[in-house]
Amino acid sequence: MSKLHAIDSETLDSLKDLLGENFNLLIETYIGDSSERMSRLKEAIKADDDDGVCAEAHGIKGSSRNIGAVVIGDLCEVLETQARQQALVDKEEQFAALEQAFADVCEALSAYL
Amino acid sequence: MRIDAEDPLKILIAEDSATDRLILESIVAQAGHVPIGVADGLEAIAAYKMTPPDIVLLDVMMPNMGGIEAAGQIRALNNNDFIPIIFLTSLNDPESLVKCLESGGDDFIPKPYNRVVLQSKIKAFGRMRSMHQTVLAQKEQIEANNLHLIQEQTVAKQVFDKIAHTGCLDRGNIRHYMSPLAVFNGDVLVSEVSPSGNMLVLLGDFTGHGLPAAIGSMPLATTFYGMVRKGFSMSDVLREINQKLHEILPVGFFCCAICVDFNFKESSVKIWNGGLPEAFLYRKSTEDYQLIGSGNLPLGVMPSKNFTGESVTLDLEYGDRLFMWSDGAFEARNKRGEMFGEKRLHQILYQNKDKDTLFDDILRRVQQHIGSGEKDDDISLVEIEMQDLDIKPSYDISSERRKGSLADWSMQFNLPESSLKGFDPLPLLMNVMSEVPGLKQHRTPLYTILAELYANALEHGVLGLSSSLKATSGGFTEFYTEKNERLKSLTEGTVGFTLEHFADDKGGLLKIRVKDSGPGFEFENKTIRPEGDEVRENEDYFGRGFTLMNSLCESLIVHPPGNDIEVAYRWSHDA
Repeated sequence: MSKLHAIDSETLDSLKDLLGENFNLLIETYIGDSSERMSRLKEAIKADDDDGVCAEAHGIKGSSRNIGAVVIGDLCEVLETQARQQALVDKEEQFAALEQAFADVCEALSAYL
Repeated sequence: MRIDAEDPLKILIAEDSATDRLILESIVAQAGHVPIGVADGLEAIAAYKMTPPDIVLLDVMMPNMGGIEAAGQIRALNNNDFIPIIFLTSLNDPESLVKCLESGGDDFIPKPYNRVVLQSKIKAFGRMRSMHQTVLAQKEQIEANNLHLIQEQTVAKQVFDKIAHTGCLDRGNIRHYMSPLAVFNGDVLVSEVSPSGNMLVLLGDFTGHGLPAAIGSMPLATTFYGMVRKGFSMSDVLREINQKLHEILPVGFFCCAICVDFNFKESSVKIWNGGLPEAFLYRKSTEDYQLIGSGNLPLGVMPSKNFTGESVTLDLEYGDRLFMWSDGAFEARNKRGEMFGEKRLHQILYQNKDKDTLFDDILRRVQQHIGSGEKDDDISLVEIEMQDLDIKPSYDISSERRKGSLADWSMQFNLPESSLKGFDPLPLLMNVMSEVPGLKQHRTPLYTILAELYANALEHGVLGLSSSLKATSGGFTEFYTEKNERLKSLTEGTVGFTLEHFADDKGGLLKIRVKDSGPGFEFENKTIRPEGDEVRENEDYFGRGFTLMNSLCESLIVHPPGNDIEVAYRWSHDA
């Protein structure tokens, strides 16, 4: 239950209400889509590809915030901003934190299914 | 009517994140609209072409083609229809937002999405689009109506031009200016040469503008040309036009007009002015103008019986020039709404006396006053010069005469006693004769002749009354009392009329022969010498009538035994 703070339950409840039977699809889509983006982000960090980092972080940020994953959103925003300014600092550490947060969110979301 | 999301809108959603797209589609569907989801700008353009949406939602950052470029291309696909584009963006720096709007976007919605805000914006833009479509539909309707109106006017003008054509306006002594669509300003100018070589010109100005003003021009022009070519006089033509217009135009609609009849043989002009500004007649000899103002009511105002076709007749000399215009000339306004004015027009006339360029000067000055911006000038200007002209009509006179009017004819008309008792045959016969164009002008002498012939035949021939009765005091009363009694008791008797008319270029010859059933008079003893005193001695039978008739007629023959009198009356159009 401690992982639940990773997600804003109010947002998630309203989405459940909005999507109805499509809610499960939304969660699956988010997890699938974001996992792919996480791997692309990881590669971009490895390759020092600032544009790639910026685009992927931006994408993950947007959909994460939409489902209420505010922590991921905030972490991505830092990465995105630094990458746009070509001033990435401690990117491996940042990505590690992001990976941890993503794992927490996925766990929390599974509880909703 | 409330304009809102009652009708489902098609909403194109371009968003690369599957998660976000799913959420957006759900929000749109929940509001009752139809979402069309795509993953990037290229797909958005393809979907737009396939199914034009009502509103477009575009994510800014997308692979393959971003939202800003897609917005530009979508805008390029459509110029007229208003399809709102709303950007979806988590960007919040002013520069990015300005870029969105400049590329063709109408608004943006920040991420993460707020369901209520998004639905409200869709509703607001749906309303705007609906208003725009209404305006667009109305604009198209107005354009269609306008096109229709112009087509109608073109057709109407073509019809009018065929009817009014140019008449004899191409003759060298006439200068004229009418604006191209003058007929829709209510102005009309017709002119024709009469069979006798006179030139008739009518300048008219109908009340009002547009189609109502143009309608009256048609009967005016057809009547004018039809009657002038048949040789009817100016007053007959005007009388007929007045009657037609009075019949067809609504109350308050009429035609101010000036009509002139130039006689080149006698160097004179008849002018009838009904409601138009004063015409200016330039006298070469005195180097001054004579003004001919309106002395009549406009055409179409009065019923026929009150219409006066009275005109002014003026002698002219070669080089005298007549200027006529409708009030459009001095009502022409410049951009400040200031009228050209009668005063200014008169000034030009007096300052440029006897200049050959006067006509062009007036026209140029009025047009200068109006300025270049205005297209619909309302100037109608005519100048006619008296010249040594021998003009012939351009149409075939005899065929015009044959067109629906009496030319050569004859008739016999017999009245037995039953009709003699109460019927007056003179109006009927006068009516028949006035069907001959031009002969109407001669109705006074013709009536005198007919009346005399008929009185002689009835009173002296059929009834056997003696005119000596009239000579005594109180004799007239006695004569007519006697006449009535004899008529009442009349059992047998006839009066027969034989009329024959032969038309020629100048006019014609009318033969009238009246024969009664009486015994006649002692013809051989009473030689007809109307100009001598001898006739007076023979007043026993026919009173003063013969003297008068003989002075009016070309010839007078009394057929034996004296109950059969034949006169020949020669007439011409000029008289």
